[in-house]
Amino acid sequence: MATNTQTPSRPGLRQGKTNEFTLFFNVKPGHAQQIRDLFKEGPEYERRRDAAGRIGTLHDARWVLFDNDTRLLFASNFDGDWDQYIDDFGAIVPDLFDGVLQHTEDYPGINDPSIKDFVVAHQATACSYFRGAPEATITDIQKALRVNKALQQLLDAAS
Amino acid sequence: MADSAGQAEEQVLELDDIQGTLLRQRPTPFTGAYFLLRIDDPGGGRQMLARLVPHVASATQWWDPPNRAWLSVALSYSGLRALGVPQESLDSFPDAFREGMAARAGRLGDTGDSSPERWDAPLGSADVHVAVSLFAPDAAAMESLLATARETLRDLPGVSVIYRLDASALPTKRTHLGFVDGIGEPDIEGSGVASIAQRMSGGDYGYLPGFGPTIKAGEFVLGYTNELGRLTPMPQPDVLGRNGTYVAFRKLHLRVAEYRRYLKDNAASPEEEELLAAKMVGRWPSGAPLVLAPEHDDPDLATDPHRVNDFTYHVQDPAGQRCPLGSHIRRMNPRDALTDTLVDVKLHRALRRGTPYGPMLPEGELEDDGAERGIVFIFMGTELVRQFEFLKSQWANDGDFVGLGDEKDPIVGSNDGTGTFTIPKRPVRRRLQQLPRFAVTKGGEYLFLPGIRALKWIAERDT
Repeated sequence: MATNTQTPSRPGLRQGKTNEFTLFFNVKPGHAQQIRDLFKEGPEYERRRDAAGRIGTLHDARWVLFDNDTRLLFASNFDGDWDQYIDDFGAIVPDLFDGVLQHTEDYPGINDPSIKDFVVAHQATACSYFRGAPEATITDIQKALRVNKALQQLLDAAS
Repeated sequence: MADSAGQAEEQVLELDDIQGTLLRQRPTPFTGAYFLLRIDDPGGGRQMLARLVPHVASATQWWDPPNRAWLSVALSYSGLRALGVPQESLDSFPDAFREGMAARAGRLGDTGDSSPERWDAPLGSADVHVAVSLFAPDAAAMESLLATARETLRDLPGVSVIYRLDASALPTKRTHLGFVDGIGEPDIEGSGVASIAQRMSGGDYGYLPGFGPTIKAGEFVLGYTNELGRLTPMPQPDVLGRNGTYVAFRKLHLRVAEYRRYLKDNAASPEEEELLAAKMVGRWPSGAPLVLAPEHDDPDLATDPHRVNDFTYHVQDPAGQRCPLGSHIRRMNPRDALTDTLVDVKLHRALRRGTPYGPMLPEGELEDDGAERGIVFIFMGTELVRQFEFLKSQWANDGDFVGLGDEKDPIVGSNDGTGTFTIPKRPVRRRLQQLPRFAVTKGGEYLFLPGIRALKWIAERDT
């Protein structure tokens, strides 16, 4: 599978228009519960989900605590190069990442000039990357869903 | 967040140390020339620079030098090295600048006919060390400025002029494609930026409707706070970086005959040709914006500095029924069109100067005459990657940010004859097919435009 992927300027494999993006962090001792608490359902959680939905290039994202809560995984799929937009993320939703990553070792803060280097240092490139619809960006998918819905309504009205 | 901090205290710019070309507009009409120099002897290069510095216009006295003619100096990475700037300073420049524009061709869409191996020599090579631009209101003033510039090279065998490109306003005061250019410019904190619209209103200073939010000075000048609320990383030492900025210099050949034929082939009448062209640009030839003049050109609107730029997209034209989502001006400055996304447009603004070169193709001519003609495009800003390269890769050469898939800018995009241009329309949108590339990159350089003290610092180094 790795043969049909291209390597962009940063780590991570690409297939079609999308990049895999996998980061590993060391959790500060005893901070795992604080990370879990951040994801408890409530207005704050909803606000962050809403912000993530507006990123526009993000297919999915997950945070996973593992190794007895000592390590943290962030795994996601992005359209295009993530680093193109990192300053926009930092300017508008610092707490989207800051809230979680402040509980990990060596985190400089989303507004630190060295943030890109920090991210790259914690990124591991996949051995293999497969996408079912490699040419479809998240924008394309959302548009296709809207178009299909409108088409079905049109057909319903016509029948 | 950066906004509230910024409004509390406006930054004062050292205008007398900032090169005039960065913050000031040229007189109209104007005549200009770009010279590229190679330095084989560092001492000779520094001596040339020392002779040039007194003639470099600052942002305070740019309108005051003899004959209103002025000169600016920028340096490439290899030029800084050729002038003997120490290695620790060279290492403090950002990666994109050190690599140079040719090395970044892939992300800029400079492929195929635009790829660096096809560029005009010496553009894109390590021989380009110093770029000097000269502008004057007329030929006589230009001649006197040229004499001054020649004098700085006298008896310096280690410094050679390796390229000259004359670039002047066309008699029509429009671009080769027939449009008034350079209307929208960012309003830069503390600069008194003067767009052509502002000059039309009779003054060089002052804010006019439509220029958008004031942008923090650090987005365009090093040494000041930027839109992220911090200082943009600056080359070291401080005296070298402060009041400087980066330049993306591009020579873009315009395929005027092909552009005209494409419009003709896709339109049933001259009026429809003009409408298609306006849809592609987002403005009519006069500069009147489609958002305010959707049906036909409105020269009165275009010459009213208070109205020509006074529009937004989010409420006035959300679906692009007037100004298509993929049109040139909507891509290059989306204003408030991306309000529902996380993109902060203030992080992706550009200061631009476009200067035509080459003779006009006679009006109505549809066959290429083989002449070299186009535009010298100058971008200026403190972050080549976040500003210039972002604009090229995300907004000019992709359409995903507005749900247009692969669609590229119809005027400056890296099209290859397979692309489309979507014109929203009720009841059914129109889609132009097989878009050719109208703007072919013939060369380019990333340059550093130092402050005037920094030029002196380089000139006075004794290595």
